[in-house]
Amino acid sequence: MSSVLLEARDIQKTYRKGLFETTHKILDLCSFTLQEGETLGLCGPSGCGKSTLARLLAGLEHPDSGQILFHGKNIFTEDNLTKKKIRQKIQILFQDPQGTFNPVKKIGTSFDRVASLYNMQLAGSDMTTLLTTVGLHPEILNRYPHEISGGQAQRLAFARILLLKPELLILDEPTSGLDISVQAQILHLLKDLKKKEKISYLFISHDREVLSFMSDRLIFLKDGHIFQDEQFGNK
Amino acid sequence: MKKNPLLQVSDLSVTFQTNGDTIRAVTGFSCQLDYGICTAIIGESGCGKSVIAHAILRLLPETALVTGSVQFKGKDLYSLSLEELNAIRGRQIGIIFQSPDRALNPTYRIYRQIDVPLRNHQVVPEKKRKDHILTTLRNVGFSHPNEAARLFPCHCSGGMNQRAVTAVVLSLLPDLIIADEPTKGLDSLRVSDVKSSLLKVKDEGRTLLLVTHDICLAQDLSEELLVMYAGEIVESGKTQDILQSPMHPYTRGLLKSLPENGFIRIPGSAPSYANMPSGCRFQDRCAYASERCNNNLELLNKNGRMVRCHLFC
Repeated sequence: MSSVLLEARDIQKTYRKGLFETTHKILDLCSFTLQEGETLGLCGPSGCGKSTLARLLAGLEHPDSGQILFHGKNIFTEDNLTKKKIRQKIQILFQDPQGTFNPVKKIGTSFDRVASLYNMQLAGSDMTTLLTTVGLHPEILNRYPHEISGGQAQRLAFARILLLKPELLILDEPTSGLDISVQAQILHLLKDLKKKEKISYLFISHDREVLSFMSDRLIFLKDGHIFQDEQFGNK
Repeated sequence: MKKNPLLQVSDLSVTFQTNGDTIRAVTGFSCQLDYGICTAIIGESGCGKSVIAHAILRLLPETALVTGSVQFKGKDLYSLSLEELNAIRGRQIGIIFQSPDRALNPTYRIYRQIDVPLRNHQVVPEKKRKDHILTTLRNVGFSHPNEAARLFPCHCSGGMNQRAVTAVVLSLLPDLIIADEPTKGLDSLRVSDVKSSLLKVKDEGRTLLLVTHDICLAQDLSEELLVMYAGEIVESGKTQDILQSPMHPYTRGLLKSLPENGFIRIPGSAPSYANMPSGCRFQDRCAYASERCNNNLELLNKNGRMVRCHLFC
């Protein structure tokens, strides 16, 4: 039986609009679990807080209250070494991947930077295999971020994440900038990698068809609350 | 007498020089946009769709070598001075950029993002400006425009910023709107909001060049469709004709990738742009490839449909 990989308990998050203006509770007592090897779909209307939840789960922002547990460990209260290990294992693919590359440095340097953060050695053949996996030519590493398309940036960001061998991948609209043929390639690639590398996914998307294709289970985020789609998979 | 086209792009090619490599992003792109017509460009990510959108407005970096001509209302945009071009940018040709987070000024509220270009181009009188801004925000799907107008881009989700960028462009009432992935990152409800605002634009007789990977959006909005692969047009014609009976093997593969067809992927990947194969650029992934595909081929006219494939010689 699979065990719980990630658990969110009563997460709350509030944003303030302006210095003297009202506060807006974007997440209100959100709780859910994600099992090992599972793909959990998350959908909800534009602006409902999906990306905020993704950033909290990746440890990039702190919740106002509540806990996020990875293998039972609170990702915010562990010591720095454990936190670093957890960060390697929980990776996030952003909605706008082009913004995650340094605009004044070549693409290849961002791979080197990620590898050096975790003391990994990067062989040329490993990079070729990695890039071929996501359907790109290694020559792209010599380009600057403004010289690549949105779709290429998404695939490069994905390859950079795979370098770290994550256990949980948070995919925030991973195919929203891709055309349908590349989207099909990426979705199949994600499925293949899930089988091969045993990665779990939190798949955030607006697209019900993509979510139906990818997810084992589906949750909704609306008005700050999480709802389970009990009918999902029975249709 | 036939009216001259609003925009005529002829034999547009764009190459980038990077570290000794020559990246041929676009090769021999030609199209004609008539008044009030929507033309959509679809194709694989990285095939040069956005490069064309930027090349039309001369927004490419200096490292880009652009050849060919872009005529707007009979004027060659590449022979205009920067001052003359700035009078056209925004006011006569508007572009909805793909990455809204970077297209908006992070220090301006949404209201000011729209207000500043409106003041610069003096599109509406001062007294009517506020109403005009709020109406535009409502048209792109902000149900509470007064609240939305007060937000900064950092307060908004990706989808809300996308709609804000669309509002900036639509508020200037340009003759030609280039929409580069206007529905990227939006949920289905917001997609229909943006779609209806673009349909309204069409009803007002304005011209739309839609760059998208959303085939449903292209189907609903466009009359003409251009299918691109690896920097060149492989098929063009009436949208309904192409979607109902695609001719080029790439177009067929693209339509098979649709969700209703089970996300069937096209095997292989696009060729290297620094080392483009001679002849058909799709041949390595094509089930019908033969030796003759190594020969270069121009677009063939097959009963009004243009297609670049030896299968139809």
